[in-house]
Amino acid sequence: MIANPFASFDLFLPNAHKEKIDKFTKTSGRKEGALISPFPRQIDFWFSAFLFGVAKNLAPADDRDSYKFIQGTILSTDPYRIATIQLVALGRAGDPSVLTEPKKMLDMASRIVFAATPFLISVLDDPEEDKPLWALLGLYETLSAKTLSTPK
Amino acid sequence: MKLRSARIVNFRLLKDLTLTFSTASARPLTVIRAANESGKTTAQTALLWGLYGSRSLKGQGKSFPLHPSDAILRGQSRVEVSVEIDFEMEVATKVRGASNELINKIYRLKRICVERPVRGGGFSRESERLHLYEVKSNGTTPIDETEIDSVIESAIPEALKDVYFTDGDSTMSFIEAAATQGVKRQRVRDAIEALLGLRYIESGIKRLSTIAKRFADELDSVDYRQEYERINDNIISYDEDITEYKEEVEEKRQEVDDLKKSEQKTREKLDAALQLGNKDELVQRRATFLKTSKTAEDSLDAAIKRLANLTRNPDVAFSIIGDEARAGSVLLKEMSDKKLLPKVSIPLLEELLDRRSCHCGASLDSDSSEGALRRAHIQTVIKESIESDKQSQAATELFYSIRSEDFGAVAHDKWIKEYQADNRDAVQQDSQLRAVEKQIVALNAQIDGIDDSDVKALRDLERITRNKIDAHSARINELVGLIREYEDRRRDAILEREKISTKLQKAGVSTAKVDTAQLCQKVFQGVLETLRSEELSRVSSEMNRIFLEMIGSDPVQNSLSTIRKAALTEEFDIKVYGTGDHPLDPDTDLNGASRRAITLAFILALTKNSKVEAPNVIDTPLGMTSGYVKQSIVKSLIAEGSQIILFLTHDEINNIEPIIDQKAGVVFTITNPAHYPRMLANRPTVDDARVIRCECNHRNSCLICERKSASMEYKE
Repeated sequence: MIANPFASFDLFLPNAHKEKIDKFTKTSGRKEGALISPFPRQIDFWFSAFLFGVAKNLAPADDRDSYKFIQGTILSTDPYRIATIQLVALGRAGDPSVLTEPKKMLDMASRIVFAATPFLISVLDDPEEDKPLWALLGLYETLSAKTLSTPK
Repeated sequence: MKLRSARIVNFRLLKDLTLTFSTASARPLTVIRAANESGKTTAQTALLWGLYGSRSLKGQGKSFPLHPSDAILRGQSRVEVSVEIDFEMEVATKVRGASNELINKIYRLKRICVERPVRGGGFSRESERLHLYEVKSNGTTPIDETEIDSVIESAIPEALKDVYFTDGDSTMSFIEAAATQGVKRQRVRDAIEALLGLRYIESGIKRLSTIAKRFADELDSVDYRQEYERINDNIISYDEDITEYKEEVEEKRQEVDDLKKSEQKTREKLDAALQLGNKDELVQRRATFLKTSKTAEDSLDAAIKRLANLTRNPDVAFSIIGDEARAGSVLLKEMSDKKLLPKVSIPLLEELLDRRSCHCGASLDSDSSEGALRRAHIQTVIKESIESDKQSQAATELFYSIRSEDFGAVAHDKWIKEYQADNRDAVQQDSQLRAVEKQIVALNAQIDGIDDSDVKALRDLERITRNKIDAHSARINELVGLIREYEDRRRDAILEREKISTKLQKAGVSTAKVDTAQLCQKVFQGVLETLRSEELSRVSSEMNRIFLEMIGSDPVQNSLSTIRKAALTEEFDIKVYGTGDHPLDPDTDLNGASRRAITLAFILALTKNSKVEAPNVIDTPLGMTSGYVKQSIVKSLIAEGSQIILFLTHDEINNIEPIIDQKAGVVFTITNPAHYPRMLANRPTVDDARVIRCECNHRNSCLICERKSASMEYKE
């Protein structure tokens, strides 16, 4: 299992979207909760925003007005996420030395998240979509489909 | 009535014998000369059997065979016995409108039976039948079977047969000493009463007594007037009750009609209310849908959860970051290719150090120099690896962690199918849930739309109305039953009232009826008494006259007459009185001739007083008589009777030949051939036992009937 270089760091989300983020990450366990709040945890929102930002190649954004929602240790629950962040950082940096700089990688990820959050929220809030979950899944489908033409 | 002839066939010795009788008024006497045992009694019996059948025979004829006694000997197993009698009598016939005339009619009577003789003396008699014809100039006309007896009864009443068909010895029974006084009286009484028809009057008196008693019984002590009023009151009461009940029935029926109309309206309202839906039913349906909804909801929830879990699906992430991941993985591959990534051998190397031999088989045993050398090398490599820069380490970890992962299209394919299936499932569940929810909503709306209180109220009203209808109907049935019952009682009471009314009327009538019956009874009693006394007196007087005539006694002219009077007492005793009205015992104080005379006088007196014109058929009436008395008897018989038929022996005929000459219209002889040779002079012309008739009269004889005289028998 891959080690978690981000364990000692905190994860942040933009304050401006906190309410929405809370709305979409409500984990009541009810059917309606999942439809309206498709993300079981905020980290799931954070990571989806990361994926969205990476897929859309959004310019990372700095947002000082943020709040810490959890520690980086949470990433250990889904180790693939650690690898994903590292891979994206490596790919973007083009230099393997970035792998020795977890803070740098995490900042990159955070900035991508900051950039992607409003877009993600706008997708989830899309009035044309019946429920946020369907919007999210639609987004996943769309983003995933873009890679179909690109071989491994 | 006068006998004309009789043909007797197979009646004992009378195998084929024809008797003829004189019907001439001037010569009313018929003499049938016959010695003793020549069939005289048999002939008389045959005549009686012909007229009255087997009941006239001794013992009803059960032990009295009629067939000839030699039938068995002659091989006859079946013998037809018959007696045919021709007679004439005057019959009152309505002619020329209303007036009656006496017309002389001739009848032919034939009685037949079959006897089957049995050896030993037994026999059976069957098929006894009687025919009667009226003989006319143009032939015979059968008389209806139902009228035969009445014709014969009109000719000679059966009750009088012993009076008109008698013999000299039988007549003596009225006076014979052998009988007790009571018996003699009874015989005389019976003869008188039979001849005078007094029995009919006695029978009529008894009948009137019965009728009077019955009328008297009808006069009971019930107060029919009071009973009538009581029944009348009951009838009025029944009428009132019936009217009242009928009125109530009408009322109830009207109420039932109204209630039924109301019930119908209520039912219509109820149906209308229920058309909105039966709330209970709808609630039940809703519950079912709710269950379905819960199931669909749970299924949808599960599907959504599965979909929601895609946010943590690595394949989703790897497919989304495909391009970016590809760039990084290329770098790592390059590093790997350049051997810049340390082998992930440290663990392996460290594992080797725990072994005595390498995987390739080389020894790693520290005891051996080669093994130790290798071990040292491994340790060096490990150290070098550890000592490599963190970059490489990180890259290595990353490289090996993603080495087996797919990115891009492959990763897409991996999660998309599962996603699509879960999506479809979720959509389906959602659709079903929506549909069920829609139905639930509709049901709710329906349920809410039903005003239950109306339905309940209507049902209550319907039930109440039905109960009222049932109650009224039951009452109607009860009343109908009462009306029927009271009408029956009324009908019975009316009938009873009519009966009482009739009885009330009859009460007055019954008394009169009783009085009438009793009066009639008295009249009849009086008639009977009168008849008895007067007729008795008349018979007595007549008997006396004839008797004295017969015996030649004239006490009026000759005071020395030893027999002065004969009388019939009120006690029905035949008395003979001598000098000084001294009673003489007929049985002991009279000689045989006188005894014959008194009894014949009695018979003649009876027949004369009865006004019944019938033949006197007497067998040997003149026994023990002779001389004057014999002649006188014959003369009296001829004078007093309408038709006298006498069976006389040769001895009886002696000394009355002149009378026979003058008064006999028919004389013939019957002979029994069995008397040959003792009594008959000549051998019979027949070869079987039978009585033969010859036309010899009282003065001559023939080969058939010639008898041996005493001189012939006692020739010196």
